[in-house]
Amino acid sequence: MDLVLDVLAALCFVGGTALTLAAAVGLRRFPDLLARLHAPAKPQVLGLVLMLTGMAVTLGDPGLAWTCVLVLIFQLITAPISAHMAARAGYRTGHIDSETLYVDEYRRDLALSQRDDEDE
Amino acid sequence: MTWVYVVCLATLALAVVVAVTRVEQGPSMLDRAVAIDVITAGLMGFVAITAAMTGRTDLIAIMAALALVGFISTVAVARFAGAESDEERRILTREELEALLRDEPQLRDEDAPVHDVDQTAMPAPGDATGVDDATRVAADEGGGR
Repeated sequence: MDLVLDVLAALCFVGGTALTLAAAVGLRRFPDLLARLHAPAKPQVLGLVLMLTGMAVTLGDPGLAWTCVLVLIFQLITAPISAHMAARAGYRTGHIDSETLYVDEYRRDLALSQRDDEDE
Repeated sequence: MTWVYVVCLATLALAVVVAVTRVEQGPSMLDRAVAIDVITAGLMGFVAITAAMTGRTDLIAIMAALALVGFISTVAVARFAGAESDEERRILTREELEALLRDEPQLRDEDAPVHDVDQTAMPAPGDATGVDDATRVAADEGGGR
């Protein structure tokens, strides 16, 4: 049984660290800001799930597992905020080329809001 | 199991180093902020593996703190990111930085303070000196009547 748990923990750790490395490589290779934003989400959520699972399995304490769930909930709340803010600021400061996007609803919304501002 | 930990820590270290190269290159502040997110994720991985390796359960509090405050740097950078041209966006060369610092007036510690709160204290409410205060007092008296 110990061996099974050890193998499970090892697989989780290897998976989590591989995702982190994949995110770093993605950060290196992707061409623009929106593509680079895609990369960090993997270790931030799935990688963290895997590594917390590995840690909880290794330590084998139920109370600890719930703390891990808490950490995961915090991360699930805060990771989208940072990605959203970076993408929003990137668009509004002209780091994102609208021509490269298939769907660009923010451009329309920005134009609408600017028109509303001028009306007032 | 020790070999798994060693391999995982080495992979994480490699990932963080690769992310640091992105922080160095930019090209924009937002790219750097995103790269710092990856570094934070790598840091959380380090803490998780260290906790599992050494059995230190108190390290989980660090992970909770990292998960809570890790996003603040990105949000702060995003709030203060401004639209800037390619010329403003690039990193200065060493010569340009030295020229910039040479032209700027340097403040030395021995110089007289630019603003010393002890010496240029605010005038007390009672002593009305100067034209502005006198006219203000006159206006107040006129309004009272």
